[in-house]
Amino acid sequence: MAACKRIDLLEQYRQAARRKMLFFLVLTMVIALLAGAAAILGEANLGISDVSCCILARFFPGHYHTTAFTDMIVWDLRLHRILMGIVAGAGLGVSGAVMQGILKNPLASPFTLGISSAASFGAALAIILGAGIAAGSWMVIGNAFAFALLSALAVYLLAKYKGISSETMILAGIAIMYLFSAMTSFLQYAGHSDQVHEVVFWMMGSLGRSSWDRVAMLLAIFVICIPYLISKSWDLNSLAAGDETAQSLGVNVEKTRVIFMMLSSLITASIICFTGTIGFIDLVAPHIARMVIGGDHRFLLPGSALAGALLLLGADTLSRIILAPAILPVGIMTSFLGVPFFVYLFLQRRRTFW
Amino acid sequence: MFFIQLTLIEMENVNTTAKLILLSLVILPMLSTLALAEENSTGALTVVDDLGRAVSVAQIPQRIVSLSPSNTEILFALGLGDKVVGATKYCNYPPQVKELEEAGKIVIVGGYVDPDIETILSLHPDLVLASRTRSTEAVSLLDKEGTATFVTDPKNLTDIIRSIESIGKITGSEAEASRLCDQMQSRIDAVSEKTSSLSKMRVLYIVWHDPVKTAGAGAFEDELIEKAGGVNIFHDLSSYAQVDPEAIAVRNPEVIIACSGMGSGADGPTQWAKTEKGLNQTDARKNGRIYQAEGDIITRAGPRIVDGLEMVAKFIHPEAF
Repeated sequence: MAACKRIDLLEQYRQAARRKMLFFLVLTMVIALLAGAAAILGEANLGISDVSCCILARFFPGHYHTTAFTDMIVWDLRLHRILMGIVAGAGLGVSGAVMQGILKNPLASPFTLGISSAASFGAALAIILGAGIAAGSWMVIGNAFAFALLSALAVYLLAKYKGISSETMILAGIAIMYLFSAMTSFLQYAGHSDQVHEVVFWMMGSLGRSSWDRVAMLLAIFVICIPYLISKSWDLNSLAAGDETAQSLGVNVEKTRVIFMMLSSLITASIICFTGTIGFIDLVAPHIARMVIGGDHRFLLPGSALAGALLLLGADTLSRIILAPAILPVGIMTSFLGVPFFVYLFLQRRRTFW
Repeated sequence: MFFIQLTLIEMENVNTTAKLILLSLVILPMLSTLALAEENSTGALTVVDDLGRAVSVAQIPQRIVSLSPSNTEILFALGLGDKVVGATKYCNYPPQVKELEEAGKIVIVGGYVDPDIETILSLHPDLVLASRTRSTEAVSLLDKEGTATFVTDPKNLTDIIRSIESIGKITGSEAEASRLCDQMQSRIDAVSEKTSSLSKMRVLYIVWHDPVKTAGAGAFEDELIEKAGGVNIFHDLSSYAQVDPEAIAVRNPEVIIACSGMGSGADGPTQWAKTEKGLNQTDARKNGRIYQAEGDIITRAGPRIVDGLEMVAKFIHPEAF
């Protein structure tokens, strides 16, 4: 009898593991296919052979040949944008999952914690008052980055006074969010109409600002942060069981919460300073992953990364081709794509997923 | 035909006073049907505005509030600057506007989307000039308060000239308005004449670079490009739209005109056009045909739109000017 139950449990575990592996495999393949499609689709009527020859020509210049025009379209316009979609989407997914994990709240995201609105304020400050921590074209980017981190620090300091519990952090985050949105509105009120437009465009979010340098910078930050976060995902799991339980398991709750908060803020800040605020992905990608593969953060973090990458790349590709040559703001597409999928999963599952 | 000949023969026979009476009998009714403005004995004026409403003022307006930069420019061009008592914070041309604001002669009534109705009413204007796209709510509120509100809504160059004419009528400056409009029309004709025989250049107009926004059919910029002897590569889009940079590369503009505003990102679009790698293979970039145009001049529905047309024509066909 006991042996039979053991086998059942093992079988169940294997099934769950297979389910997770299947999720990873399918998502990775879909992302790869989508990236391929995105490299081929576009205004310039390039075929699969044109694009693949063009990509290979950079690696084997002697063997493959391409035209200057194709090279410009593929390398200077399409590829870095596709990679930016994957990298930024993955980063947003992970940071959303981490924040929801440490705050034990399904609504936690860089937006609810004031990070996005602080980044917008930083950008508005550079655009309208011309005041910033960096010079020239880096002023808006530098400001957005600095203010995003600053707001995370402010949330931390506010919460420190009341003890770093998940409730205090969320309340502090919401207070910070309202403060920064009010300050952005004030700057917009004071600004010239051109500047106001610029701030609005910035806040809308777009992958049009991507470039190879920026993709490389994001990758460098992620290569350091994301493996560390995943390696510490046991701590996130124990936090989910409650602060006392985590403490009794030997986790330094406050320290863990602060480190996770700072790393996920760093990831978010580095993304939104290049893309503007792209909402929704950081909130919903973790939920989509959680509904399919469950709440174990060892799998949830990479799962959220894949879901986020798929959502952002898919949304950006659609926003490029649906009304071509016009482009829809990517934030509209992420919601149009993500919400129906989210609702479908939400209705499919009978028990609560959170 | 026979009848006209008869009258002409008869006219030769009658004396000069009778001739004059006859002439005025023919011309007066013609004039009154042609003119939209009707001036009765008390000096009251009624003109139909771009919303199709008959707007009346009891006498020639002495206190005018302008709710858009273009209308402010028109009023000053008609020599009515001393009658302007209120303007928006975006009214920045001619430079006298700012001087008069500092001297307290012109009061800022807010932006064009959200003008402060109380401030407007406290100025006791006898005419408010609004623009349809920008101050719809203000117009209905002012209407309720019984303030004469004249709305302009020009969609193209012809409309702009017509709106200047009607503003001339409602402000009692018809002669100045028709002189200004004649000047504008002859400058437009001169540009058309110089560029009509030249090849149509493919032109890209950049409103903003981050994200890339351009002007399509229905925007003033599109009409200016066409009248200046070019063809807007995004004429197939309507009004202002965000476009894929790849579409620019494919449509290969020969001339790029980037907008500059008054804001901090003033030369952002120009710098983008000059440095974006994805435009490397376009003719405009290869030949260094990238120009910067002041946004206020080419997008405002005022007298300076003709300056904008001449400027755009010089960018597109420098050989003709």
